[in-house]
Amino acid sequence: MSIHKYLHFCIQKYQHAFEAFALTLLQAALILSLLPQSAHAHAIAGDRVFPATLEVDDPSVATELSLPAVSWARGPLDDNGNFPNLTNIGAEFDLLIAPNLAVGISDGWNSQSARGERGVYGYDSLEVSGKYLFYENDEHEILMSAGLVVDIGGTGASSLGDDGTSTFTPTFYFGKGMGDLPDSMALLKPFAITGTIGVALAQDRNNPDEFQPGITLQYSMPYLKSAVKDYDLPDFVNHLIPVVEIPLAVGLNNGAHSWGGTINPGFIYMANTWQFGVEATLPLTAADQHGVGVTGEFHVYLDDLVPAFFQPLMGAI
Amino acid sequence: MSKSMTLRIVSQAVVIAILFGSHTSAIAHAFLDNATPKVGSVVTAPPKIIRIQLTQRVEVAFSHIHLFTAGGQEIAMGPAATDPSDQTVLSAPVTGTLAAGQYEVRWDVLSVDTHRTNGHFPFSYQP
Repeated sequence: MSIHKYLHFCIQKYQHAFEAFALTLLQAALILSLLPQSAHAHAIAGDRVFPATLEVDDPSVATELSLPAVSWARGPLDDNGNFPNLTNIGAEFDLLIAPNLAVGISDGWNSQSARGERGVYGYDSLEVSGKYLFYENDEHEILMSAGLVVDIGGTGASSLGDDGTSTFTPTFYFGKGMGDLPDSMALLKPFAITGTIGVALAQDRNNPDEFQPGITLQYSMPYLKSAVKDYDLPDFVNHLIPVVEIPLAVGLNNGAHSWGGTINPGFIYMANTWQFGVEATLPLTAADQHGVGVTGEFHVYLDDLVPAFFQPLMGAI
Repeated sequence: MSKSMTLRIVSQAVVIAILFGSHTSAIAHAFLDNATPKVGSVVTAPPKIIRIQLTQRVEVAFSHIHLFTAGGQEIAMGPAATDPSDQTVLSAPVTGTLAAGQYEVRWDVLSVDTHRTNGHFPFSYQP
């Protein structure tokens, strides 16, 4: 039996056990939150502060809120010869329950409309996640995390593809800053890459599993100013992080073997307690979307904005 | 698990988390905003003091500034102190002697909200 088949077997047979385990973990977290605490966690490795990227999740664990996260694009040609307008308005809340462990929940509302056609509206499947930061290297500006993302079947609109079954995506997250380059390459030090490697395992054997890699390339103007050279640039520029995100996916079985995804160039403005990002979305293939779309997000670091309210619930795990 | 049940569980968890979180001390991050000598600058006179301005107030007892040569040799510095009128400004006198060359300032601070951050930046002394 292949690993894929075995994982599917486990997911189907032990679905209720997984749910019970998740609830037990949640209850344990709440009970443990009564214990004395120590605080530390954010997307920081040495001089490097990794921003919250819009499409490819970053390796950080923090108490943060993305609201709203808005995207618009025109979908591929439909049966009526239209390119429908696809709009998504979403939100995500992540809560640090231990210095290196965060849980999250997200959802989004969709609108799919085209001239002369009846619109389709509804919510995405509810997504819950857990992420553990297991490696930090300040000198080489490296962060690594591992997590599990679960799309809960039956919680979204069936008209938008929720067939009542769940998807489980174990994911590896990483970030690497280039601050350890030699001084002769000082202007390259503000560069950083982050990425994810995930495998989406469908509960329903008729749905394809997916390999979901993603990568970002970013250049941090805050890093340039504070760790390389202060060029007396305007304050607005000193908060910018130009970024290119490339979220990808390819089917692994059930006849779905084509790559899909987008290339998203844009920028993030990073303030002390919040950030704002906007990116264009360029489709990799005509099957992904028609033409250029746009995505934007307002993001708040709650543990900085309202520090008395938000810090890790538990001590070190 | 139904969506309503999931939402109920999550909302309860968030409320309880906020209640527990509200009884604890705060965390926030102090990052470097600017420095004297300026980050990456070339100075023609040896600096008598290293001054850094951070984005949050810091606890002076747990905050430090160190100065190193390009070869990693530490230059003697006096104790760090915050500006009485602005707790985001931390400075320390340079008591050692500087020869011409490249230097690296290393700082580590504890913000008043108990969160540690650190960093480093270069400058050159060319008389």
